This record gives sequence, structure tokens and C-alpha cells, in this order.
Amino acid sequence: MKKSTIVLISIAVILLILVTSVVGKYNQLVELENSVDGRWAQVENQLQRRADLIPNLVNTVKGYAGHEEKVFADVADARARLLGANNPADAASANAGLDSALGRLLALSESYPELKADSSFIRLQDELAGTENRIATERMRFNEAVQTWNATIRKFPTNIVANFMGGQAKSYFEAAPSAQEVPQVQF
Amino acid sequence: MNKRRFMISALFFILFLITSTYAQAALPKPQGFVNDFALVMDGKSKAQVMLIAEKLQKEQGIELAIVTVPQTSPLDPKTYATQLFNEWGIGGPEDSGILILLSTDGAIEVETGYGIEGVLPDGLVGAVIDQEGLPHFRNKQYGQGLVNMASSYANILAGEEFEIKKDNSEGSGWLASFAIFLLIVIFLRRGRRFPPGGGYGGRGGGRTVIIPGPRMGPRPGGSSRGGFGGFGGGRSGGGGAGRRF
Repeated sequence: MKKSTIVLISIAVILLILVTSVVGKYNQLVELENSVDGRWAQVENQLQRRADLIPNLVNTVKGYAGHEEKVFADVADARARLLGANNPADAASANAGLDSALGRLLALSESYPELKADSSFIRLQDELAGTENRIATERMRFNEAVQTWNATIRKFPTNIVANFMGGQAKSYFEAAPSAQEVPQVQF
Repeated sequence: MNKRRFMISALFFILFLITSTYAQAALPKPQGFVNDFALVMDGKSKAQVMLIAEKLQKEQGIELAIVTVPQTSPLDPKTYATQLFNEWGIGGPEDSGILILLSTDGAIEVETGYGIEGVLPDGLVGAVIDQEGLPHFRNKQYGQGLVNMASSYANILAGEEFEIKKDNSEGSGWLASFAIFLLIVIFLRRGRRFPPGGGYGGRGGGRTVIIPGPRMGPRPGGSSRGGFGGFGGGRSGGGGAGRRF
């Protein structure tokens, strides 16, 4: 055999190995990105569910405490912000904002005993608490998927493929510090 | 000097490893539909719950797991329930599973699988806890409370209506007495024509009668279930409701 043929064959083999590994990495990245997107859809589902529960809850509370307009307006604002959010960071801070507004709405039940005893109010509170638990669970799963994605695209040699396909680090679902400020209590 | 510091940090590292593996291993293994790890259920209620769970699985393919534990720490009860549910995989391929978790340090959590959420919304889950579970748990009648809850959920899943009492909270006693007063007034005015039984209209004073669990059909005496085969791999997303008592 000629020397040049051996060189050619080895180059071909190396190329083949390279191409298959690049294809493999590429497919892995696509899969990971899909799983992040899928997880995000689940989080959004639950956020939507939470937003859907609010009008009912507000109406129930209004039946007993109609003049607490400030609280209702705050809840409506926070809900609108949540529905308007379109990326994980925005949604997380809007969700945290809704936490504090809803906290004040639910606290009204302390001053209105009839409201506290209303069975539909209790049921709605259960639905709300269940939705919050679901958000927490889906958020955890989403953040895990993001973590895997972020770690994978930074590792060598996957980072080269990721760079080539334009994969970027994704943001976690977590509230910005400003959204977690303690609500002011006025007496 | 430096060596000592190294030793101390190594010690802490080992301690950390031990505690983290301990936390990982905190979830018990399933023994069957009924898992009385806290040893608070009497034999009769265990058998009753077992019957309910078997019927539910046979007729609707829904897996019901009852678990009692003395405590859930270091996890909070809800997180414990969600992890246990997904670790055990309660519910079949349609994610149709329910987990009733009782922690005898004062927590009850019901977790519903993805496939159950629609038929058994969280509000209803909570109402059953309030009406069927809590009154018994507060008197330490854990077995009876769990039987009542399990049979209520089974009835709801079988398509029966669960009647939610209008006031199921403290501090509303006057409302109930007022409602009863009103009922008596109406009754007196209407004279004999008032229909017996009242139906759905009765506000507050109405007592909900729950027919205790389904007891028809053959008793599974000496059934040949050779050991527990495990649950069907269902998942939950954190739905359900819980109470502290």
C-alpha cells in the first residue's frame, strides 16, 4: 500500500468520528433545549391557572369586604403584570408581586369572620395553595432543566457545537431581589 | 497548625457527606397500598382502607396510597408528599394516583396525580380533609379519619356528589344557629307541608351523612397477592391540599 493512501484513509476515519460526535452532541443539545421549553410551558400553564383563579377569589372576598378597593386594585395590577410577562425572569418577579398582593387579600379574612368561614372561600384558598405548590414543583423541574442545559453548553467540546448553533445560557425562574421587597404595612 | 485546620475541614466534609446521604435516604420504600410507618392504625381500619384501595384499582385503575409517618423533617410535609408520590410512582401510566400522607406530628397532606386533578380539584380535596379527617385526627383517631377520607375520595372518584357543609370553621357558630332558627321559623310557618329531609337547601345546620366504604362484593380472604408489586409509575405536579392540626 502506498503511504498516501494510508494517510487518506486515516484522515477519512478521523473525519467520520468527528462528524458523528458533532451530530451526537447536536442532537443532545436539541433534546435538552426542547426539555427546557417543555418545562417552561408547564410553568406557564400553572401561572395561567393561578391567574385564572384570582377573579373568582376577588369576587368572593368582595361579597364580604366590598370597600377594600385598594387591595383589589393591587391584586388586579399584579395579575395583569403576570399575564403580560413573557420571559422567565419577568414572570418570576410578577409572580412574586402577586404573592404579596394576594397575601394582603387573604389577610382580609382575619377582619371578616364570615368570609373566613365561607366554604367557597376555603375551597378557593385550597385551589390557590395547590396551584402555588404546583408552580413550586414545575419551577424546580424547569430550573433543573435549565441547569443541565447551561452546564452542557459550557462544557468542552459541546460548547463548540453550542456556539455554532447559537445556543445561549438560559435564565432561571427566580424572582429579582426587587420583587421580594417586604410589603409596607400601614395602620 | 495547618494540618489541624485541614483535619477539621475534612471532618466537616465527612459530616456533610453523611448528613446529605441521610437526607437522600429519608424516603421509605412502599409496602403496599397501606403503609403505616408510624404504627397508628388499628387492624380494622387498615383492612377497610385496603379494601377501598383494591376496589379503586380494580374498577378504575386508580392507585390510592395511605402513608403514616411520625414526622417528615427535614422536609416540610408538602414537599415530602410530592417527593414520595413521584419516587414511588403512585398511579398508572395515566398518572391517576392519590397519596394520603399523615404525619403524626400534626400534618395531613393529600397529593393528587396529574390524571386525577380534574375529577378531584384541590378545593374538594381540602373540604374532605376538613369534614372527614380533621375531627378524628384532633382526637388521635387516625385510623378512623383515614378510612373516612379514603372512602370519601373513592366515592367522589366513582362519580358521587360530596356535600360540602356550608360552614366548616370555628367562629361561625352564630351563623349556624341563626340558620337553624330561620329553618324552624320557616318550618312553623309552612306547617305540615314542609317536605321532610329538606334536600340541598338546608343552610349550615345540615348534617352530611357519609355511607361508609363500599363493602359489597366478595371479601378478598386469602387472596394470592404474592407480595406488593409496586406502583405503576404515576407522576404528580404538587396538586392536592393539606392541613396542620
